[in-house]
Amino acid sequence: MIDGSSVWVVIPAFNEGKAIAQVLEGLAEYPYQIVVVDDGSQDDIAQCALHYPVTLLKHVVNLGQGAALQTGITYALSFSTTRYIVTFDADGQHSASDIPPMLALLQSEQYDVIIGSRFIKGGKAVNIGLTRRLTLWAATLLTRLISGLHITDTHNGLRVFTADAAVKIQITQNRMAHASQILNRIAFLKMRYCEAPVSITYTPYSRAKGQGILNGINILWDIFLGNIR
Amino acid sequence: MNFQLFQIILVIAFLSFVLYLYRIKTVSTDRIILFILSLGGILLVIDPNLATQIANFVGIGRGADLIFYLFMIFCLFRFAEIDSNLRSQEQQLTKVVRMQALQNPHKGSTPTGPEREP
Repeated sequence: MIDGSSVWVVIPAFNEGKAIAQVLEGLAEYPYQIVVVDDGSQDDIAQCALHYPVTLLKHVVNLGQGAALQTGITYALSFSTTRYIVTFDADGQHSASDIPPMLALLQSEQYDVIIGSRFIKGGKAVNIGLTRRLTLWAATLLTRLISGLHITDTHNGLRVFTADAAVKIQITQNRMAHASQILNRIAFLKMRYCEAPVSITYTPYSRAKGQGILNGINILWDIFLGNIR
Repeated sequence: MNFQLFQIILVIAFLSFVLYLYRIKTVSTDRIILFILSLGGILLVIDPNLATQIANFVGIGRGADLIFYLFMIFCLFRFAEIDSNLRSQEQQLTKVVRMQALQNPHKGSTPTGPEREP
């Protein structure tokens, strides 16, 4: 068994006051440590989150999901007991029950990072719309071309890293391009990775918060300009 | 077609611009390039015929067109410079905000479970 205190769940959150309680409720069944990074939200997410046994870090201004993830990861890594780091979305799409199997995969010490996939066998994408499916298909195709990784779901927020891998990842893409950046780092550093089936539940709320095709263009822009000095 | 020389020059200029962005760009090279471009601009103002002569030489025809092309190249460099400055400022802001967040962790309620407020 994995010691729950050696596992940190990092939840980047921006204006997720409506969803965060349900997310933390789901995670409460597990013994993991939780850090919520409030990325300059304008709503009551901080009060909501503090009703649960979590650590809350606040960005005074909104920097983006990538920046919030990195803040949470840096915090989790500041404890010498930390062995595994889980990234988890705040909008209620992920299911906490997917975490233990992913940790078990890491515990076998064959991998450095486990990436959640809604599209491999055993994974689920509940109520996914056609547009979202097409957007993800295009994004996955492109990211596979760029990073060279053989994965089926490149924009899944549920991932598990060993502490060593998390130290090396170093997210510098503050906004949504961080998902591609993480994969590029995994490829560049030749980390051992594998996918694990996860279920993603779309709700009208999460669909409204998700990434559309137009923002895909912003992401490409960030990836392109991110390499400029 | 008389356009070939200047087309080749423009294509080379664009390719070297991309190379420049990803490989050579520093604050000092930015300034050197802007200085040279400004100097060229001053020269063209002092001697308007110069533009036409150079334009004829590279096959553009009108001096005004040459100046327009040069202006576009100038803008490209300037935009790249501004963008790069913005990015480095964003990195600095990120550092400050992150450090502030890490120094002030807020602890939620005890692990006994959530307390509900009405």
